[in-house]
Parts: sequence; C-alpha cells; structure tokens
Amino acid sequence: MSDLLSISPLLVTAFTGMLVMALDLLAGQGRKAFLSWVTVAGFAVAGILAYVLWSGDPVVLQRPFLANVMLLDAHGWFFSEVVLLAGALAALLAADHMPEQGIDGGETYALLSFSVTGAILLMVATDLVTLFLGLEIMSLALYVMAAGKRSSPFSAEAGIKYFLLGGVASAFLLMGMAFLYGATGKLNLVDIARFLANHPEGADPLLVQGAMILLVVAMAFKVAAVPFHFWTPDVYEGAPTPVTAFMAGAVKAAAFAVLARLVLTLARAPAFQGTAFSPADLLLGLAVVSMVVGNLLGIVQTNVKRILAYSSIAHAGYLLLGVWATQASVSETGVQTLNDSVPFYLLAYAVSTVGAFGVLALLGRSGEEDMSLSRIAGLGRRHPVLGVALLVAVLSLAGLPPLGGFMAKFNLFRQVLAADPAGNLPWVILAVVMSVVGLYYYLRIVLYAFFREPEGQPVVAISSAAGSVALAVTVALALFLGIAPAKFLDASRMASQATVLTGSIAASRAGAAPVQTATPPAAAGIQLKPGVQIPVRTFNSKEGRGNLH
Amino acid sequence: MMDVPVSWYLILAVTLFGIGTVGVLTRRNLLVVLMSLEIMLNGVNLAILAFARHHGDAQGQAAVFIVMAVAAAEVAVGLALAIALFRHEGSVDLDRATRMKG
Amino acid sequence: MESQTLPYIALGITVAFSVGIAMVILVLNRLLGPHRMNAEKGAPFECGSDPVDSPGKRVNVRFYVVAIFFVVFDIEAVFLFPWAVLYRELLATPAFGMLALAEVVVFLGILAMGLWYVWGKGALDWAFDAPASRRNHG
Repeated sequence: MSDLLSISPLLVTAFTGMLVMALDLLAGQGRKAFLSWVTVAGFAVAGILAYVLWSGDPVVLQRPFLANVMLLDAHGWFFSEVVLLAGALAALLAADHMPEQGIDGGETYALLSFSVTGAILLMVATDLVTLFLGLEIMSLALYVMAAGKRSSPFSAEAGIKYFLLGGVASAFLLMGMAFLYGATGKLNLVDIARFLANHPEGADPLLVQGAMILLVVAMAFKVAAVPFHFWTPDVYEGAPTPVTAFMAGAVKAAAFAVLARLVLTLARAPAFQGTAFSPADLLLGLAVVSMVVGNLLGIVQTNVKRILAYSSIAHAGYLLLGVWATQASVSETGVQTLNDSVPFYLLAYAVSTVGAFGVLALLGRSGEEDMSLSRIAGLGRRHPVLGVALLVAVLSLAGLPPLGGFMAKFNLFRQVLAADPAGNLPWVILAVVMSVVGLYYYLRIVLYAFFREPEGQPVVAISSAAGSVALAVTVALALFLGIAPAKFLDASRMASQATVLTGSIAASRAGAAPVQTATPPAAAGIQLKPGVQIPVRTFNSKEGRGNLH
Repeated sequence: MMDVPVSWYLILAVTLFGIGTVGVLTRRNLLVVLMSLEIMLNGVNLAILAFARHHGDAQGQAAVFIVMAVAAAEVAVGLALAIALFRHEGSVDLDRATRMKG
Repeated sequence: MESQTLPYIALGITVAFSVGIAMVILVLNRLLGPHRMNAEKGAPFECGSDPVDSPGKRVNVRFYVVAIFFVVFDIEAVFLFPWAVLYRELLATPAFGMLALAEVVVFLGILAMGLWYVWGKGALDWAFDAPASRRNHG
C-alpha cells in the first residue's frame, strides 16, 4: 500500500482525468466550465501530495517492479510542481476561453490531466520504457489538445505539425534507447550509467555515442531548440491559447527536466572521453544557435503568439546553456550536478509565459484568432488589468528586475560563469547580448499595448473570473520570485542536486528514506532487490528456443 | 539452425528506421507519412528485440509490447488528425497544411 | 526422430480437422439452407463495398472512426495475453499475489471507462439519424 501512497500524485492526476471524462458525459451541453475547477482541485491535491511525499529524501518504492522504474525525489517533486502549476493555470484560462471560441471543452480538461500525468511520470522515471511511456502520454494528449478547436483549420494544422514532428522525435528517442539497451543490456538509467562507468570495454562506443546523439536530438525537438524548432511558432500560433500556455510552461519544464537527467547521467560514461564530440558540445551548440536564432527571428514577427514562440526558443537556448554548464556537486565528489538555477529558471519562465499567453487567451471574441501586434494596440488603456498582467509577464520574460525572469536569468548566467570563469565567459557574454536583442521584441509588445492607438476594430476582452484568478497568480508569482526568491532557490538547489542519477547517491539517501522498506536497501540502491524473483520466461535460451508451449 | 548475428538485425533495423525517416520528411500524403512513422517505430522494435535476444534478457520483449501499444495510440491520434485536416482542406495532402508561415 | 515428427502430425491433424469442418458446414449449408437467389446475394461481399469499383472512390469517414477505435482497443489485448500466460505464476509470487488480478481489473476498468466515454459522446452511433445533440464527435 505504501507504494500506492508514494505514487499518489500520479494516481490523483490520472484519476482527475477520468473523473472529468465521467462528469463531461453527465454535464449538459455548454456547461463545462466547472470541469476547469475540478481539474484545478485535482492538481492542487496532487501538488500537496507531491510536496508531502517527494520533497524530502528520495522515496524508494518497495515492490521490485516499481522500485526499478521510478525514483521519487526532489527532482521529480520540483518539476512536478511546475507542471501542475502550469496545468492548473491553463485549466483556469480555458474555463471561459474555450466556450467563447466554440470549443466544447470537456475533453480538454481530461486531456490536460492526462498530459500532466504523463509529464510527471516522465520526470520521475528511471526506467527508459517508463520514461518513453510518460513522454508519449504527455505528448499524445497535447497533439489532440493542439487540434482541439475543430472549427479552425489553423488548429488542425497545428495539431498535425506537432504530431508529425513529435512522432519523429519519439522515434528518435526510442532508437536512442534501443542503442543504449543494445550497448548495455539494461533499460534502467542508473544501471546503464553504472554499467558504462564500470565496464567501459563492455559497451560499444559507437552505439553509446549514437544513442546520445539520438536522445539529444529527440529532446531538442521537445524543448524547441534550434535547429529542431520549426514546429514551435506554427503550433503555438494555431493551438488554442490556453493549450499554448500549457505547452510553453509545462512541457518545456518536463522536457528540460528529462533532458538534464538523461544527458547528465549518461555523460559521465567513458565512451565519451577522448572522442571528437561530447554530449556537452552538442548541448552548447544547440544553446548558442537557439539563443541567436530565437532572438533574431523574434524581431521580425508581427503576431504576438509567434513572438512568444520565438521567445520560448530563445529561453530554450539560455536553459541549454545552463544544463551544459554543470557544476561540482556539494555532496558528492567528482560528480557534476545540474546547475542550481535551472529548475528555478523553468519555474520563472513557466509563470511568465503562462501569464503572457493567459492575457492573450482572455482576448478576442468568438472566432477571432488573429493576435497580431496591431490588434493589442491600446490594450493598456481599455483593459488596464489585462495590460498590467501582460506588462509584468513580458518584462519578466525579457528578464528585467524586479521580476522573476530577471532573478532566474541573473542566477543562471552567474552560475554558468562560476562553473568555469574563463572558459564560459564568451558564452555568457553572448547570452547577455542576445537577451538585450530580445528586449526589442518584448518592448515592442509593451509599446503596442500601452502607447499605440488601435487601427480599426480593437480586440475585445472576454470576462472570465477563472482567467482573472490565473492571471493574478502569475503576476503575484512573477513579482514574488523576483523579490523574495530565497525559498524557491533553495528548492531549486535541492532539485538540481537530485537530477543527475548516481547509484551511490541513491543508495546513501535510501538508507534514510521515510518509507520503510522490507529489506534494508542501503547496498542495493534503487536496483532490483536481490532474492526477489519475478517470473519471467525467457525465450532465448538454447533449449527454450522455438518451444513456446 | 543457423544463428543470425545481431549486427544483421541492427542493419535491417537502422535501414527501416532510415526509410521511415526519409518517408516522413519527403512524402506529402499524411497517410503515407503515418505509415512511414510506423516503419520507424517498427525498425526500433526490431532493434530492441534483436538486442533482447542478444543479451538473453526478457525486459526488451516487454518493452516492445509497450512500444507497440504506444504506436497504436499514436496512429489513432494521427488518423483523427487526418480526418480533421480532411474536413478543412478536402484532402490529406500536407502541402495544404501551410496556412501559417514564418 | 520421433520428437521431431510429432509436432507435424499434430499440425496435420489440425489442418485436416479445419478443412473437414469447413467442408461439413458447406455441405450442410447446401443441403439444409433455403435457396432464394437475387443480385444482392450473388455479390462476393454481401455487405460492405462493391468489389468492382473505382480505386479513387472515397470511403465514408465513419469507417475511419471505427478503424481508430478498433486500433486502440485491439492493441490492449497485447497486454492481456502475457498476463494470462503468467497469471498462475504471478499469483504464487509474494511480490505480486492478488496484485496480479487487481492490476488487470484496473486496466480493464480504464478501458471500460474509455469505451463508456466513446459511447456517451455518440461516436459509436452509426445511423444517420443520431440525435444532433450527441453528434458532436470526430
């Protein structure tokens, strides 16, 4: 039972989705807005449970078939909270946006819940198959949500583009996993890392390197890094705006969480030593082109949703720089851990970007999809509240004090520099320059919203209590993260310390795990406990071959 | 019975994967693209199964079941999206799905 | 030698049985069934599409919907099969025990939930005169 309790945040979000499905059938046509609150309540419960259960020492599940596939630690906790927050905000934003845009909406909340479930599963997974499953649960729900506005060809196009590129990315990820499995014979990430470290001669370096390239490419698709970003502007523009907010906030956080865990855990392998390229080089390359291309292409955009999409690409660049510049762990010797401020950055980015898309979600009457800059002209005068929310969100994205985005960027760059003061200086300078370039398009949004008069028909805001709550939360959090970030930075540090999976960390912490395990797991770590036999028939022993009974 | 070395399986798997990738990138008919995506996943399945046999490990076989189920779900979503595209454009030609650019 | 030919004998018996039963059914059908021939009955496929047709002909979109549901629900059997094969051993294993049953009940429960949703949304209504209020699917 304690296993079920330990994974209860996952169960709660999954159950929320099914509950919403049931209520969707029972509720009358056009009365689906309350489902938004049901979803938010479910996410809140899941968030509290995750805080209570996962935020301390890593929880090692008892049952061997579970212990091997998930590790519930601060990494999973922090990123789950980010995803749950973004999901809840998206649900609130959808409450009045969806009916206004003629979307029935019931299935959106169910899909949102499943997508969040998948994202959490993805982030707590230590087994490659579980990881893949989580990624697909998250993504498949998102493809459908992106195409959720059935009256709009843009929405259908967004869904198809996202689906095709996401499908290719999944296949790449899976091929990478297959290569890792082939090289090591193991599917557990910890086992693979340990095998690669202990038996450098046992694994074919070609397979391991190929696997790493495939994994990085696949995750670059998911985090929208250049040159795998082509879907991003179209999908962000075409998808219903609350869904876009969720994509930008939650999916990016989940994808970065798993990218950091996968790449940094495997990067220690000797197979990468002394080779022409290393996973770190790949990350750095992606980071640099993402920062440059994202910011430069953002300048020429005229649609606010597309500007924010390129902003998302640019932020992926900064974050990749953060993931690339690992730092020496405080608790372990010789193990590089994830940069402390990457989780914090993702939280601040999620809050800001959900806020920005949230304002757009509350703009536009039925059928109005065009979100070009000229349409938000005069927003600050006609709808001051929305205007201020947009201002806070956009300036936070731009990284101006005293907002969360500034604190995140400042800490991230500072720590990248601290990791290697001389070597990383050029990259940090480039990042700062690109942030300044990015200021142009952020300030252009502000300029249009506050200092331009609308030409022709100005865009009208829809009244939405739920949406207002969501925007208030984003504004408050953006300010709070900027002014009093200490607690969040601490949590971020905890999360980043847990990101890189090392057998020794898992083992040493497991001894103090709050969940009592039947046998002391000190030596076994999160490995399968010895002595517990799972009946598995192998069909590949010589005598068994071709004799399947 | 002669044992086929794992590298042969791997070559076939990677070839299938490559054919699928090229198909996804070059074909314009959404249904053909969906099939190409399936070929990619089946290439992966073959690789995993070959490695599972090579290592004498049953985990890989279980993994393939899950991949198959996920692939089926993916096809279901893909077909639903194909219907959505067809309703708007009257065809499943991907060149019609280019309203948004830049 | 014997152990190698034995499976083929079994296979032969199986083939003989299936051919035999098919024959018996065909013969019984011919002997006992009423014969009222018409054009519809003479077609190779009594229901469904015309066998000789233009290849570019459009298939009704509802076939796709059915195909989608088939693909999704059909593949779930993949998980039941290995479970059924190992069920007794799983029950006897301390790590699983009754969990082996509970897991599958939950699994099927989720599937049933999905089926209920599909049904409730009206996606299984085949007839044209389905109430408009329920025809909001697809």
